[in-house]
Amino acid sequence: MAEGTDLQAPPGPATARLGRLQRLPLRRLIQIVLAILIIGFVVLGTYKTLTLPPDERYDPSTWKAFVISGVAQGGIYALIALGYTLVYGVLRMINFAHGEVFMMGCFASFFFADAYANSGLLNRHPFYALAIIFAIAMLTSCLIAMLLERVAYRPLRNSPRLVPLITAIGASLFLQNTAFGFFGPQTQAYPVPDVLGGDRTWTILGITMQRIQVVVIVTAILAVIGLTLFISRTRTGRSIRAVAEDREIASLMGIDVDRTIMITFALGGLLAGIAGVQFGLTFGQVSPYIGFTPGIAAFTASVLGGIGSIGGAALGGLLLGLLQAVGPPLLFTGFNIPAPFQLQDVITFSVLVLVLIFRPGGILGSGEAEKV
Amino acid sequence: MNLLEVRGVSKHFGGLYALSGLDVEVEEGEILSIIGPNGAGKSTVFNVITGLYTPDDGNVVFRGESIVGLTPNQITRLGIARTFQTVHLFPNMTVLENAMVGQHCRSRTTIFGAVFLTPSMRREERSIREHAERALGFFGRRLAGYRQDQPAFSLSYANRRRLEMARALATEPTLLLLDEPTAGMNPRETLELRDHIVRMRDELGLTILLIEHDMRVVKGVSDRVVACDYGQKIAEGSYEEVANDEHVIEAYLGTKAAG
Amino acid sequence: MIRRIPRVVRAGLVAGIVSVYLCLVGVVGSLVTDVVGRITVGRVVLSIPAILAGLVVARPRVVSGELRRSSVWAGVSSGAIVGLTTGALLAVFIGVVNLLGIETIRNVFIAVKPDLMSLLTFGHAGVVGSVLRIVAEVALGAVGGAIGATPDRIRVPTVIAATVVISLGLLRRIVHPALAQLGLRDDWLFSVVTLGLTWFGAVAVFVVAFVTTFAWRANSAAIVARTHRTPATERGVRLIVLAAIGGGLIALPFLVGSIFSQILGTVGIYVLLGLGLNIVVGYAGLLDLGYVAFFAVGAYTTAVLTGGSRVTTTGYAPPSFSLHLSFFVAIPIVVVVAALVGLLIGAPVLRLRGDYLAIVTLGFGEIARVLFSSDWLKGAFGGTQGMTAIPAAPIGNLNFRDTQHFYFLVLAFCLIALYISWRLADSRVGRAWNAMREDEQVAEAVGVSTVRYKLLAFAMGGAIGSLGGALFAVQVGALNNASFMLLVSITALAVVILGGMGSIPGVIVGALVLIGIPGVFSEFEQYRLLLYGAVLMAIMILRPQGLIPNIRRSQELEEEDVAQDKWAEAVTSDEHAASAASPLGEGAG
Repeated sequence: MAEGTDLQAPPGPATARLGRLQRLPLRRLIQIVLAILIIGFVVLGTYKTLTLPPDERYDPSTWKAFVISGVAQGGIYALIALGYTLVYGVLRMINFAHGEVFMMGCFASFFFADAYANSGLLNRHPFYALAIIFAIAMLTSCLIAMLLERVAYRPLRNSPRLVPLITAIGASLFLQNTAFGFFGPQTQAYPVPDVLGGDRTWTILGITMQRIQVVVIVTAILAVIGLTLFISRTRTGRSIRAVAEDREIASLMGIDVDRTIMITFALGGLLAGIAGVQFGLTFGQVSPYIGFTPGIAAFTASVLGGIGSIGGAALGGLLLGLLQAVGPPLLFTGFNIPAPFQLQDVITFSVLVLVLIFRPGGILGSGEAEKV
Repeated sequence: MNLLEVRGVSKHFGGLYALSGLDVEVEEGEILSIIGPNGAGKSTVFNVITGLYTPDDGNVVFRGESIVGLTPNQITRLGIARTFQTVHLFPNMTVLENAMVGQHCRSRTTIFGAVFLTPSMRREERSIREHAERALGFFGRRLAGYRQDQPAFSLSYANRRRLEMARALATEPTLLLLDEPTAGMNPRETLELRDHIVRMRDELGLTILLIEHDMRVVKGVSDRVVACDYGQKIAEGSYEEVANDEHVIEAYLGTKAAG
Repeated sequence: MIRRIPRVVRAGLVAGIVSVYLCLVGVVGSLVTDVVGRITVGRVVLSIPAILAGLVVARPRVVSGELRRSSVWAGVSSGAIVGLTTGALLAVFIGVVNLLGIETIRNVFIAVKPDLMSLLTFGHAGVVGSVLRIVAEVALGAVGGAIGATPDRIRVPTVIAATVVISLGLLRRIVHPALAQLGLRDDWLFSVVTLGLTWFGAVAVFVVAFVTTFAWRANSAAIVARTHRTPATERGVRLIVLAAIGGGLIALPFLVGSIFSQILGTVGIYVLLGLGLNIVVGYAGLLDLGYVAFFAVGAYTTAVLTGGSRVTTTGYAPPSFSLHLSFFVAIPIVVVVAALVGLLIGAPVLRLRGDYLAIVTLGFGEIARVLFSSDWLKGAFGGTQGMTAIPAAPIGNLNFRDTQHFYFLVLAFCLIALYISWRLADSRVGRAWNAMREDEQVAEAVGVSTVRYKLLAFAMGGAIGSLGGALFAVQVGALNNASFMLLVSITALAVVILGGMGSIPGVIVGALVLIGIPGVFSEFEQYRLLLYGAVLMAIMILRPQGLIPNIRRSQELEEEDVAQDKWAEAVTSDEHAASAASPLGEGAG
């Protein structure tokens, strides 16, 4: 642990000279080594997987199924990621509890879906029932997000950046265990109307997809378009952009900053509610712990696309969904790694780390590091 | 030999050229002031010299050796210390600790030494403390006594500026870069600081590169003055020469009479 | 709109919402241990919101620059209004449950049981029950108001004494065997039937605690002055205190018995984790949410090095790499491995700051867990089944598996880690870390190699954290991925945050409160994480410096006035002018 240079002399006019090696910044070096390793791994893994003997290989239809489920998963991620991106845009803060907002929406809608399933309404009038279920989830998530903002984050507006983050971690734990206390720890089956059942498919543009996947993808696209229009066209959208640009100036221009931030959280909550129902319908289950993993994945998605950008969140969600679905079989099967999908989260986090190292602004971002 | 040579340095941010081919030479033992209107790229020069920015083009040579591409801490260790345009202290550390951090690059204690209380570590810790106290003592009683054990955030504005300079002195530099040291000070404090700058050269033997807006200070302390505009040197010489240069008057002093 | 509602009513509403929340989340109904007489923990918890709200409302407050005190009667009456509001809200809750029927509500909120309702309504159905609840809340609010309005010298001892009574009521499981060991009878204090305090015991404890606190507060200045009279006496007092603490620490496991020694062991493990994380978060300011990685590395490395077996479907099998070293030989290797992992984790994230760093490290923590339990590395670490038959740590005849002996092993490691933390805090290394925490760019410009010191912090924090993991492996003797969830990282973080970032005593207090209390009070176990979440939020919002902030600094701030006066006499020149920062900025610079 000796110091880097040959500075032996007692303090005084410094005469230290620096060796050649020290001129190569350590960070650069690490980056280069890392890049070579990763690219090597990806190329080799892909090559090995694709050149497996035919009986061990996945057939093309399996790959197609991977891709479609990846896109659908990506739709859910995109909706949650929008919540992270919106909040990050106005507050420069990671709302770590956003995954729990999503979970709460899913849970609230579950009780209505369950009641409708028991009374038969869900299958008799699936459209109306789903409309109500979506509305309930959106409302709940929206309220939770606003409550979170008011109680946990507003008092910390001007604190150092770590303080709201730690609060958000606390809020995440708190909400998760509130759901645990309220609704019980067990995983419950989320009722799916028959029209969207697992084996029912639609064929669009020659691609056969499960209906629920279509619903997820379409609602995600609609939500992204709607949000973009809202942000760019409406008065409230303008004030959100103004607050994101500079909170202080915005308040001097007569924008009610508190209200705008509240609305931003509410928007994020609405989208998380939609994602909650989609998650329930896709995976057919709900428990207090469903918020964490999609939450982290969605955060990764928003960073991947460029945090703060709406299009980025959508793109990042899509890409991450694809990577998660296609990545494990493609990269790991060739190396004979058993149970490649166990390593799905490893892919998520690796993507997060790599984006932050090589392109912290994300795909659609400026390529600059975080704004300080 | 020139202590520091900035040779043809360019630095741009997006489409904005903060520096375009700037040349500055600093001779050993002089006080050189850089003046220029806002946006002339003065602070950017400092950031390039101290390694916060890497220049797009050109070279920075210190004691005959290029320092481009070194990290800021390596440059500090080589003997260049600086202060910032807006005061940057370690607000929750005490005044003394702030100055002691300055001694960091002149000491060697490792985790091992700190944990096992080796005699050399104790000796060094004492020496760090003495050096830091001496650096604080440069400003007389301003940073002395009970103040040394107070957190830096409790200091008055002028004292924060002084502490920042003391911290820079504690790194035992040969070249000190001062970025608008008198900004925000009242006339009396400005006068006092002017004397301090001269004393730093005369008593501590430092070479000083100074960015300053207050022309009375520039006039009072500078051996030479360099005027910049749009990231280029537009004039160089004694204060009188620069102040009467028509480019300078046009770019900078045009609306403001020389003090 | 909300602002127009009177303050008192608002406080009551908040208390009411909190009360309903506590009922729904299950705290009130499921904590059925008796504290005093037949009063259960659930009842105590339910009464706290109204009391607290009453207390807050009646506290002296600053109104347009003037400190306004309320008289005790004003306090009681405003407290009663608070209670009335709280009670009204609870009555609404009771009404809704009655209207819809307990069973319907229970389909959603599983905590709504007949027991809870009868607790809320004192066993009376219909309107009578609701009215009784309102009356009770009014009384509680009034008590809170009364406490809030009394002067400090009464209020503080009252609150402390009440806290002591409640704590003691919960601690019979520890206090009873300890008293029995000392040959003391305690049937006057604890009821043999309810296992809580008897009413007589409660009153007695309250009076003793009250009088003691009252007397201490009245005379503490004189006592402290006496002990500080000369350096010699001061040193003497310090020695006595140290000896008492040392003696207490040695006697502790024998006093509390083997079950609680195990809890102490776990507390110790979290002290280690807290101290390690404190270096990373508190000293160097790097928020690491993947700290569990070091815990896992410590545990699995120890398991592999000391000869643990992995669990397979057919029985036990040695891992692909295995040594049979003694624990104490293995430990240095474990520490080195963990430090290297620290470097490995630190290296790619050098340029990340703050919240990004937190999320990425969280990712590393999860990656570590997934890898250790993956089928891929099953040959080395046993996959999801994990490892077992990890040998204990033998010295001669002692093997430290027994909880009371294990405690001493943990204690020894904690003392080492404490010493290291303490030495580092006030050294060149610690100052460099602090400087980096305060302002990374400036630290770099002043000559601190932030790359080196970040890596150093990760390595050092990792090394100390791995000790916790190694001890955990010895304590439990078996490992699987359930032990290395994100929660370990968050718990360690909560330990650091509760005590105060950068504060060494804070880590100890944090671990005692957050690990010790749920451990001792086993009923509370299921709400442990809820508590952690609430603690993290509450501390950050109300007291970000933690319960025990860096002592030196806070003392200095208090002594500042005295010092300043002295200094001002000595120096005459004016000083404090020009405090406003100049806005002279330069665009490109």
